[in-house]
Amino acid sequence: MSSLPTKNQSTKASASGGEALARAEPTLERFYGEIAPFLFGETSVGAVEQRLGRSASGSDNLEFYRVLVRRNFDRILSELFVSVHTLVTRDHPGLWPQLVSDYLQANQTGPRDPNLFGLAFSDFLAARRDQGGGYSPALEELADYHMCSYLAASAQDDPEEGDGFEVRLFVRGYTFPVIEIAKALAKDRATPLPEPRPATLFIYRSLHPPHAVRIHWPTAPQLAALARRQGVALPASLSGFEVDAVDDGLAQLISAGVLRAEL
Amino acid sequence: MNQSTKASASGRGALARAEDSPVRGAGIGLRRRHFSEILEHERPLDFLEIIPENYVGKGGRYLHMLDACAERWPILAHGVSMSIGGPDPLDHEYLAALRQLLDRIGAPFYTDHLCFATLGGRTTFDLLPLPFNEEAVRHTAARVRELADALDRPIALENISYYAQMPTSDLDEGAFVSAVIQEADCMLLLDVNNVFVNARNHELNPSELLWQLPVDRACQIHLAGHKLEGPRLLDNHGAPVCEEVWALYREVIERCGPIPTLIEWDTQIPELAAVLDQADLARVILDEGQP
Repeated sequence: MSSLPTKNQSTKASASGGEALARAEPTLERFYGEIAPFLFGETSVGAVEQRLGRSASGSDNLEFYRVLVRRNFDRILSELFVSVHTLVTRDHPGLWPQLVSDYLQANQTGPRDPNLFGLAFSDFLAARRDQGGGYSPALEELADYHMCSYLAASAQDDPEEGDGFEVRLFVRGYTFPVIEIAKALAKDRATPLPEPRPATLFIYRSLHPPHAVRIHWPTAPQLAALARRQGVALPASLSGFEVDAVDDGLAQLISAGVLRAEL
Repeated sequence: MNQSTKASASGRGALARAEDSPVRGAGIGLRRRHFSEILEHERPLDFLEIIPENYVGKGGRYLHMLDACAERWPILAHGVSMSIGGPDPLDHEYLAALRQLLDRIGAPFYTDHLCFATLGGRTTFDLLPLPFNEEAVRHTAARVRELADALDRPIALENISYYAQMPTSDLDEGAFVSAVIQEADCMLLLDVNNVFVNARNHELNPSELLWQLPVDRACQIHLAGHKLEGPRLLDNHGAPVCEEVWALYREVIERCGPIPTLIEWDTQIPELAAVLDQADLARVILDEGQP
């Protein structure tokens, strides 16, 4: 490639001479090494300009990129975990930005699908609560519910995956009625958190058209059928059913699009 | 396909191929907000564009909807995560899956942004401007050729909106974009809204900035809305196309003839009819530009 004409020194795009030393022999590798911690909020705009030279657009405009990156992570988490966001911003003023910032520092991964950035958010909330977070465990259960719903909705259609446990079908035991909470908050953000009400439920994408994500509260024989299907030992509370009752439970789950008719 | 053939196919030869492609007229982005109504409407719509990251490795309703749409309209793919100028190696496992998707929908070419997004495995989920310098030109152009090989189809890069010129830049935007397109021998996805936003934010003349770009290499145009936030225009794809952008667009079509044009609307997405209204306006200008 022939040498390209550089900008006229009189244009606003040129850097001031004071940074000439700092800009000596700039390399792309050096640029990326310096710009990364700045974009993720780990160094200041002043520090990056000292090392790379000033932006011809001014420090405030360069700083704006850090704002944008931070805003992206906030938006991803607040849209995916909408009811968690509602509760935190309603009941714990000032906490949400701190959660986003701390989660970003703890999860330095780069999935192409922005929603997958939220994969560890439920565990993060639980760990933080254990360390004195001062918020309800309902938050981590809601986060898990939202994540499972997204994963179920977008999971690949792969019959070789069998029933798609932890891919298309999630079996969860929540202490709070998360479905009820999420729906109520969507209608009215002032809805108070209810008391715990433990339940086991399935979050799954139906095998039947239109393949919507559904919630199913299984009966005991259905749970026994599911355990048998998974090949796991039945807990004592589920081991007393007749084979016919378990077979009926299996048929009901197949009919509801939870499990495949045949593996 | 070997490298030399690819180089030809990704450049001017590919432009002719793009003109021969089934994509014409005015289209819109396929967005989840419109899933329930997109297949029901009967209004003119010439093509759809998808963000492939929403479909690669996915199933369920997303993929069913895409297949149904592909039976009715040509589909283009516009990526947001390639980080084509970035430091991380291109992910060839992802590229193989992406190529399968592009084959599935019959995409005649693949477009992404002239930017970086990922650094050392950490993604910013943003489209960040590269430093405008020769080293970035060479680095990016080599990766575009690698991308074209992996996807086995021509590549077009979009001129992005930028709010600050990165340190170590010593070219202006027009010279940088032109150099990358020329060095990579690829096509341009001309985003007219980005031209306007950049011109306003950097106190430049929009028309002069427009024609500093390699518009003769444009295989597709993007139009979108923006908003004023503080001292700058923010390219948020959340509003109708403004009058100044329509005027710039008309300038392009009058000089270059019809180029497939997409209305982008990604935030505060309105009802489908409002997006189609914008596509209708683009189609009128495209029709006026017919030779």
